[in-house]
Amino acid sequence: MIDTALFPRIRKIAIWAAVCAAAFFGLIAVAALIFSSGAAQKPMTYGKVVPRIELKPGERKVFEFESFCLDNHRGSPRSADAYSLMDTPAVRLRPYLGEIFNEYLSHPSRWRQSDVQQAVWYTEGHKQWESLSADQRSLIQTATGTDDPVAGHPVIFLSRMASVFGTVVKTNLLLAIFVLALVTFTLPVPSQFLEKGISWMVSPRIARKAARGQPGEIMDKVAVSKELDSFRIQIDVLFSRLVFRLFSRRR
Amino acid sequence: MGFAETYYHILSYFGIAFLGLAILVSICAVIPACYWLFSALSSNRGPAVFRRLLALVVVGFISYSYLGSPFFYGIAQWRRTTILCAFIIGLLLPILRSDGVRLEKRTDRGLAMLSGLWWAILVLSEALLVSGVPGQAVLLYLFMAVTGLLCGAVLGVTTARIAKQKMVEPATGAGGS
Repeated sequence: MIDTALFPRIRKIAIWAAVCAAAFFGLIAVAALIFSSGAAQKPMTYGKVVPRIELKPGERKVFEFESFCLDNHRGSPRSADAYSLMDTPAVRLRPYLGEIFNEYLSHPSRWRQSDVQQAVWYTEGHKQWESLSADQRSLIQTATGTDDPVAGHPVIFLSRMASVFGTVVKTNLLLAIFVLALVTFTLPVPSQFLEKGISWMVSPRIARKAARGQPGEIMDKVAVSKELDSFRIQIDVLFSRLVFRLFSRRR
Repeated sequence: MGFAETYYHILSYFGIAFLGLAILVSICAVIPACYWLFSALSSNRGPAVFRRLLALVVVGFISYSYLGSPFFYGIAQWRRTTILCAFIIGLLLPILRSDGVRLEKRTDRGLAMLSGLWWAILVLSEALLVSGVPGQAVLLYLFMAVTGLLCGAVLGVTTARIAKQKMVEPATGAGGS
């Protein structure tokens, strides 16, 4: 049986979490508003040079585009992959990317496409300033107004960190959560397994406290619930019947 | 800097801290996860069918999610064929050897070893990914093969045990009467 006394507690935690999140993001927004209020913004002019594409029903137009790869670390597209023309949030979210495109589209004859591509990859944070050619550095310097603007930039550092560790963190956390759920739903006394599992890393006292405290109690309570037990038995019976039927046919 | 840029700038400092914490937690979490997977897969006690079917879903989902990450795009294009072939082998081997199943065994060492191997290859592949090794096609194929074998073996071992019970039950019934 699910403990109904838990519901008000969960509701209270959810309300507090929402209030804390709102306060956190609100405070950052206020700080951002204060810091950015006096700063001058460089106007983007590429909107004036890029044609607006509008199609009437049944109309067909042919355009030639120069395209750039935004993510250097990703694999190359395969021949069968479909392309679609769409807006990308990277121009708004990745620092200096908009400035580089703005500079290139405003003065297309001044810069080579290959140099712009290197500059785009530089904004990803995986390329060193020293490894760029003089033309590439000049493009970045003209577009952003500084030398090596990416160095120490927290947004780019975070995106580089996320691209490297994101997959690993996601996989490991999902694995741990799912396997803990597997232990809870399918093994007789899950708190014992919780204790043995974490006792490899923390002191036996902390492991015992976690296993015999509230987390372990909740796990054990879930494991012995009647609904779960009948569901487990039903699955066992259904699968056994299926195998019995298959093997009696073979005979 | 405009409002949005300043907002992301400040937010990213917190993001770095949270991601750093998540990296530490994920490194710590993967060690007990190995033990829990090991225990859940190898145990023959209780409702083993439900446990193993759920374990099969977990292993399949984690492998699918990991192999589908953008880093592996275009690498190891025979992934479905490899997983399917290994799955069929893993499924058929225990079923064909079901006569040798010992029902009194409380743990299954083969499944425990396969799950340990699956975990070890996953962790090794993650380490190579973080260290920036460009391609790891061979290791990914090995991972797919072990994933297929493990999923197939989970289903195969469960089926083989039930089939053995089916074979034993009439004999026990005949002996008893």
